[in-house]
Amino acid sequence: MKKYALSALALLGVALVVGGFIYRSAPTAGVPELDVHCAAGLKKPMELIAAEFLKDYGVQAKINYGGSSSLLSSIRISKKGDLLLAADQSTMDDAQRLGLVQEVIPVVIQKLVVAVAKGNPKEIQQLSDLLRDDVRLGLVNAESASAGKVARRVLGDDWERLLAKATVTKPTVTDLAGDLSLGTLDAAIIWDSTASQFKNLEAITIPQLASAQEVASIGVLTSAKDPARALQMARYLAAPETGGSILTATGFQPTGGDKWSEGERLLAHRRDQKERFEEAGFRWRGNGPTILSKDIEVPPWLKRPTGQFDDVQENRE
Amino acid sequence: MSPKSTDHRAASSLPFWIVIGTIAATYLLFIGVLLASSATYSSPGDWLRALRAREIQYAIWLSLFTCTITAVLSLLVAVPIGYLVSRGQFRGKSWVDAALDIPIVLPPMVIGLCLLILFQTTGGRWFEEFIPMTYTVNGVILAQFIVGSAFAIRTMRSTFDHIASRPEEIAMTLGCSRWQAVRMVTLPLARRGMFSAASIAWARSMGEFGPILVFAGATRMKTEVLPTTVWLELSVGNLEAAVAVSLLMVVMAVVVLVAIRSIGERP
Repeated sequence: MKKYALSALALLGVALVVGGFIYRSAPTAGVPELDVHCAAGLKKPMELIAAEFLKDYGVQAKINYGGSSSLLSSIRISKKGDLLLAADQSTMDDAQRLGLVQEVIPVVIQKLVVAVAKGNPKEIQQLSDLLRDDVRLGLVNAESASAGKVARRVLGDDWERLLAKATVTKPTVTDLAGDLSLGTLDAAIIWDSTASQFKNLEAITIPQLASAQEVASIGVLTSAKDPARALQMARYLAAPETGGSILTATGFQPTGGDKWSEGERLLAHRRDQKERFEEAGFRWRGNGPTILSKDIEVPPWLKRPTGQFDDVQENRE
Repeated sequence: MSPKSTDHRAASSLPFWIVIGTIAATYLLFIGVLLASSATYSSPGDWLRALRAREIQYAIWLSLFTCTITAVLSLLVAVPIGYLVSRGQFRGKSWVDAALDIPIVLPPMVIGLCLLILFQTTGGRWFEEFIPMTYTVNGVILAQFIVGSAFAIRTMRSTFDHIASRPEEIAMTLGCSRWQAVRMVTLPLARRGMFSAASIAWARSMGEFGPILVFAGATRMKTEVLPTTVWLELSVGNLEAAVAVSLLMVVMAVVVLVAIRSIGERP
């Protein structure tokens, strides 16, 4: 028994040493880095975009995922990091009010839907179906999650009725989507983009939620060590040719940032993007449509950024 | 704090007490500074506001209620299991021992997810016909119990390890059955250990949060316990309230733990 324990310990030791070497010799050592705080719901596209950005510009993004407001809380205390990708406007508003971000670029538009299991077994068609006794309804906390805040705003009294009927409230829409997949819930009000991340879910649009939209945006933090580089990544994320196409392919609706003009090198690079995407197991839907249409209420801070970084793009090369 | 010994070596042990005293003082100072620096993030006004909020009052009550039930349940399970692992000799004992630690090793969220999946199985659904678990207060207790009981079992096991089996055996030669010997000899000796097992289970449950969030949800006025409140307040960026509720938890926990221990120490 003792012998086995000893050899197991020795194996563990060897694994640690080897692991340590692999970690040290990782290709990322020594390259410039950006610390990105990213809303957990946008993990999938963010990872792909960060990988592309590393290939294109040799900058490694170190990404910290969490709920938008909790990320903001930690930035408030630590005053560290280069970029914040927040899933909702109110978090970015707060960040601006607190003087934590200097420039903000819109990235993704999300809409509220009723998510149900694929095939809609409970035949949910309208808001009143959610109040039926045989429907186990899940909602997000309106205090903490942006989806809850938006739903409460657009639904008004209906929200209170739903809340009284709900089987459970959870802190994030991702939690609810997970529960729907497991079958512990029959319906939940979540973002369309979250529903599209789960294969066995279906999104149902209902008229009462039509006006419920939210813009996710990326902001350069005042604590950024290299604001020019951080801004470059923010624009890369939002531009239709670069981040936008990845967002579309992963089920998000990009707002359509500025065109990415980086010359021939990048265009050639884009040509083989389709293959790489399909290799990674995603369905290629082409570059996303540029939508920032009139029916969406654009808050003042989402308008084209002006200020100290306007000349950065020109100065860089 | 000083040793009672009166022999000639007493003077030479002074440096020893100074060293370990310094280590203890530094450690306590660290915890003190930790709490004090957090306290600067909240004001008495935040405390009052936290105490007045209906949701927080409910969370305080629910936390106290569920933790107490969990502590009692954990003890009921920990005494027999602790006794078995301590006194019993059987094949595969080291595996049983390791299995008992699984709830301690598993990440909290995973425990919640496992529970959620368990009650989706046919057996689980059947059970929920009688006692609903998923998204309910019962679920809060079950989630706390899984981790709390594992710690209580550890404590009971080492308690029984430190009680000699001889008095129990003598009682049996004097005509006691095994039941009687354990009840009249060993359990009274294990009294302090039982109090500390219960208080460990209680304290663990007080901080439990991951599995509760997944399995019972964060429904206000229903399954929201104090750690959930802290998490919700923190995720809205309301640092002041989060800190106020956290410190409130510390105060409550210290008071309850001191009370349990002092009852346990009483001869």
